Amino acid sequence: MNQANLFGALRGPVLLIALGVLFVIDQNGGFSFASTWPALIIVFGLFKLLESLAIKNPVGGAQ
Amino acid sequence: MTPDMTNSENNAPPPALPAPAPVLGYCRACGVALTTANVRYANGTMYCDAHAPMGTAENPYATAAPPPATPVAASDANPGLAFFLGLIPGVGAIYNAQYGKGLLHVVVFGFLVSMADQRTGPLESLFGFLIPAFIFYMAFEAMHTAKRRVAGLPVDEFSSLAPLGGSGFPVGPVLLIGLGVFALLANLEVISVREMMRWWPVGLIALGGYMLYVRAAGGDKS
Repeated sequence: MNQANLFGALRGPVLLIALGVLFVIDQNGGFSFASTWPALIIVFGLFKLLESLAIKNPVGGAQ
Repeated sequence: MTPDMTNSENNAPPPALPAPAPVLGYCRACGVALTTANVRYANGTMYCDAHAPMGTAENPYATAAPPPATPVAASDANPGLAFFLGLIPGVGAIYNAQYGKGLLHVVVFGFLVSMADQRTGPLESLFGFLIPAFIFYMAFEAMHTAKRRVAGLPVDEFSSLAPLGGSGFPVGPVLLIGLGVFALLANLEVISVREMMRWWPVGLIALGGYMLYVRAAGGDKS
């Protein structure tokens, strides 16, 4: 398994965790989800960025 | 003591592994490993001697076997239906099984509507005109994609959106992150969208700068 696959496999669970965190903040009187949802886009974009960087220059050699 | 052990170990493997012929595949019927000695080609797949259908030939291309299925099979998509569904934001792309593009269409459409609703002066009417244009763009795009699918041509999901990845620069992820940061800051009222809209020409400058970057980086992109 190369790094790009790793990031692709991590993306779903991490997004779900981030969604849960945002809802916890929403439920407990912090920022409402209506204003924090763009954080999910940022996480998704970060994963796509990591994937493309891992494809371009694989670390560890194992393709 | 150990020499005997090593000798026996050294002697054992050669009979156990008699330089096996490379396995080409496995019989479709019984699953036995196939080598060049016992493989039989039939109907575009491999069988062992016992299970090869009648009338086989050694050469898979000599038989009148059906052609191997192309990765993109011609579908029964209806271009007219795709056009009408394309009038609904995102639905035309969903009909063409392009779910990412459908989501993007919805997001862009919502962005246009909310921008047209921002009371930002002359730009409001610009976005107002962009909305119907985008609706027809989605409809015709869905129709052309459906025609390509009917013809069995490969359909790239984001083919008609932007030349992403052509320059090697991760444009998509960076755009996503930038959009997310912008929306988050706007939602948390760190920045004001209304104030930002005064700076919209900077977007033109950035677009021009990006086009310069692409053309300077790779001469093959025209």
